[in-house]
Order: sequence, then C-alpha cells, then structure tokens
Amino acid sequence: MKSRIDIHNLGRFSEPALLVLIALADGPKHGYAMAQDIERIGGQKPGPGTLYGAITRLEAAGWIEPLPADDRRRPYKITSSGAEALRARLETLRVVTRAAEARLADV
Amino acid sequence: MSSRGLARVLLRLYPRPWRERYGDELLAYLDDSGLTPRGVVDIVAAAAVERGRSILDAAHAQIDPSPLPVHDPPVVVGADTMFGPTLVRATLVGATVVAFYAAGVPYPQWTSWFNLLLSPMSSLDRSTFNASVFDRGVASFVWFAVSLVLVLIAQMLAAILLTLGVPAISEEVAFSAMAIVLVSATLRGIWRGVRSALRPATFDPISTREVRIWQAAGVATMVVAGLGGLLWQVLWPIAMIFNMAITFPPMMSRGGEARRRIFAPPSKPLDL
Repeated sequence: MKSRIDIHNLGRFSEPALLVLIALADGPKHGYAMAQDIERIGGQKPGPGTLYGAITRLEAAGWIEPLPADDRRRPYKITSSGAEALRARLETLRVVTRAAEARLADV
Repeated sequence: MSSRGLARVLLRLYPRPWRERYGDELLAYLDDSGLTPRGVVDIVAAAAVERGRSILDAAHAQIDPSPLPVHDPPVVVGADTMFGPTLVRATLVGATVVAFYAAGVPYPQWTSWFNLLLSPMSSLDRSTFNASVFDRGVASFVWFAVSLVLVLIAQMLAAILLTLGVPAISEEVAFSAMAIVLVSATLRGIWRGVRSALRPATFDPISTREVRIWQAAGVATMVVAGLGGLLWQVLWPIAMIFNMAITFPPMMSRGGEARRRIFAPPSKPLDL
C-alpha cells in the first residue's frame, strides 16, 4: 500500500516542495528567505509561481503552517508531519543515490 | 506599466480564494525579488494550474446553487449567467483563432464560428454555478479547446488512415451519430424545459454528471465528424444546431432554477 506521507504525490510541485521543507527545517522563513536559501542549497532560485504553488500544497497537506505576518511577509514553519514527510523522502532519495553510485562505480 | 502594476495584473490570473489567501505575500515577495521575464512566465503557468484546479474542485464538489431570498426581484436568465462568461470565452476563442492564423496553421473554421455565436449557452454549466464570471468563461473555453484539439487529432488520424488504405468513416455514419445526439439532447432539453414551466416548485436542477455526459457525447460526435472528413461548409448549420442542443439541458435547468425562485411561496405569513 502506498504510504500517505509522500512528497511525490505533489506532482510537478514535488521537487520545489522538498526544497521548501529543507529550507524550513532549520527554522521559520518567509517566501523570499526560502527562495534565497533554496538558491544557496541547490544553485537555482525557484520561480515565484512555483514557490507559492509548493507553499499552497504544503500548507494544504499540513506539512507547513503559517505564522503571524509581518507587513505582508508571512513566515512559515515546518510541522511535525512535514518533518516526517521530509525524512521519508530523504530516505527514499538515499536509497536511490546508493543504488546509482554502486552502478556508476562499474562504469 | 510598472513592475508593481504588472505584478498586480498577474495576480489577477489566480482564482479569487487563492488571491485572498496568498496575494499579499506574493506581491511582497515580488517587491523583494523583482519581476523578471522568467518570473512572469512562471507566474502565468502556476496561475493556470491553480485555475484548472479550482475548476476541477468545483466540478467534483457538485456545488448546489446558493439559495436566494424568496422575494428577490425576478432573475432574468442570461443577464448574469451568460454574458459575462460569454465575453471571456469569446475573447479566448478569438485569441485562439488569431494564434492559428499567426502560426500559419489551417484552422477548422466551423468550430470557431459556431462557438463564437452560441457560446452563451455552453457557459451554463452547473458545476461552476457559484464560480466567478471569469472562471465560468474559462471553464466554457476549456470545453471548446478540448473539442478543438480532439477534432484536429481526429482529422490527422483520418488522413493517416487514408494513406494506409483504411476506408474513412462514411459521411452517413458521421451524420447519423450527430443526428442521434442532436435529437436526443434536444428532446431532453425540451422535456426539462416543459417540466420546469409546469412545476417550478418541484423542479430539480440538472446534475453535473448529466451535463458531463452530454458534453462528452457532443465531443465524441465532433471527433467522429472529424474522422469522417466532413466539410465545414456542410457541417456549419448542423454544428450550430448541435451546439444549441448540447447546451439545452443546462440552459433549461438554469431557467427552471430562475422560475423556482420567482414563484416560490413567501417564507413568512402575510401580516393582515
């Protein structure tokens, strides 16, 4: 049975959502701060529509929650279920990465 | 137009509930980060996804029409349900036609003309009844776009089948399929219209599921017509009637809902 905790269920927003969760893992941030952090991590800033599409879906899934806004800039924090979803996704990626590295070792 | 002005315009592409929740935040983000051409494209694409999602959510929820107070002024069917979405849809259809000509791609003209002329009725979709004028126009345009794409695919398929020596669907078959759908939809629409006029208080609006069945039947017959390679000159008058018939059930249903509001009994006893 498919686990209900799966960032992959977010379709085209799954990768941006993963990056948003990673950005929030070390503390609450508003949208612009998330984008800057994602750019530091991955080398590329997400587009504004993509970023807020991911935020929309993460909030709907209960994986992030909004905090009181500060002059239109609303910070978000990761929830416990969001942290769990992030750990599950990272574990999947670790397994995939190990398999890929093992195969590349023979190339 | 300033960058901030453009950002506000782009924000309008999103559905209202989304704008109310995230609009200020997105504008603040754009104030901090600036708006690049890549960002514009990204916002347009994301807004299209949110629009599509809101339309699908409304269709699946089968939203019931919100009840109006009993003694409201009589509702003129068409005043608020048809013309606004019609304008949106006609604009989108016109833009599609222009895009085809600009690209130098042959365009099946009969689909554009009868859609432009008869789009008021196809805007009456119960699943988007409580949606905004823009959303209903977009929802109506989506049906046009889907049928257009399917017809183009069908025509290409017909050409391929012909080169492979496979006989195309005969005109008789194509006309018969359309006639069956035409007559059935027309009779169904007339029956519902008569019932709504005779018994307005007990009339139930047409279900979204039935509207979808009629729309799917309409699209299917258009595809069959495309496979049959019917000439648009012959098909045009039939397509006009066809579009009217395919939207008669929702139109009659909407008329029934209006009459039910007008003739409903007063909720409070008269003070004599």
